[in-house]
Amino acid sequence: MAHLADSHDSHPGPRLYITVALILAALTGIEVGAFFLELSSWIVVWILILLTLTKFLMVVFFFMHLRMDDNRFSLLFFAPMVIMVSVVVALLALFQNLTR
Amino acid sequence: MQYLTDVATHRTSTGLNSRKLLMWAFLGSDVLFFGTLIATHLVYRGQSVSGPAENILDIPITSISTFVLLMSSLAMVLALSGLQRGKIGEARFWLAATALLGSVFIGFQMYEFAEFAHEGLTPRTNLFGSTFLIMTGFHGTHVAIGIFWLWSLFFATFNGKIHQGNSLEVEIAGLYWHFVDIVWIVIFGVVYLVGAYGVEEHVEEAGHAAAAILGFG
Repeated sequence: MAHLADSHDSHPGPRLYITVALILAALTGIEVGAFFLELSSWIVVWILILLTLTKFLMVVFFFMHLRMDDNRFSLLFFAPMVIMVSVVVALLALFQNLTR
Repeated sequence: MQYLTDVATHRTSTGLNSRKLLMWAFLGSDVLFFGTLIATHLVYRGQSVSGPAENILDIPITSISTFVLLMSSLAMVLALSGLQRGKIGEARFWLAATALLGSVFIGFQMYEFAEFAHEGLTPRTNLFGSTFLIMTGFHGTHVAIGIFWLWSLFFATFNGKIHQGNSLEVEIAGLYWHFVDIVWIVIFGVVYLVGAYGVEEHVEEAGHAAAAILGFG
């Protein structure tokens, strides 16, 4: 193997990182704004979940470089994520049934 | 110095650097760790029978600390970018900035915990106190460990142990730091903001609404 698969000669420059950070800051502002809006609560909840997911993925793909890194790193990270989300949803569903 | 260079470039059967692989495996396990803490908190939310609970959260203050942690992630990635381009002074500046922004975040968290204690909320007060303070406390511990790590890298740049040739050292620390950031993104979004609406009721309500839109309701 002449070179390591995880070498990073093609990392983007500061301009992209600053753009991503500005978008993240704007999304956080929208999140907080949506929180204080007088909208139907389920709409706000879904907006907040969507914004949180977007911010999460932007950091993972751009700042942690999973977008351009080896797919096995993505597998190591996202496989537990699927399990974690399933556990959270299952526990909420279970306890909702048990306690109401 | 030679050791650090060797571990950054060693050959492996997978073609992946073992230390970076280890960090991703650790982060995968930490996903489950924080997932468990968040799930436990959500499940017990709204079930405290005494003491202050959800309404004690200060969204404006936490919004600022969230912004600070987001900007620390930018500083971290700029430190790595600087080092990879051989600009050691730039890398040094952004490493220090990341650690300082992390310290500011910890300051906000200590202020929040002190306010909670002042209003009578401790880990022993009720279910909300236990699950919330343990979850955010573990996150704060992760941030504190990250700050020590960042300062050690910062000082290592002065004696030549960190340089362009072994930027993987900073990249691995960066992975940890960004992970700490995304955990807070989830906690802020799900626990502070969505949680304030009563997550269980509204996820169910949203599910009914989605079913109605799709024609199943």
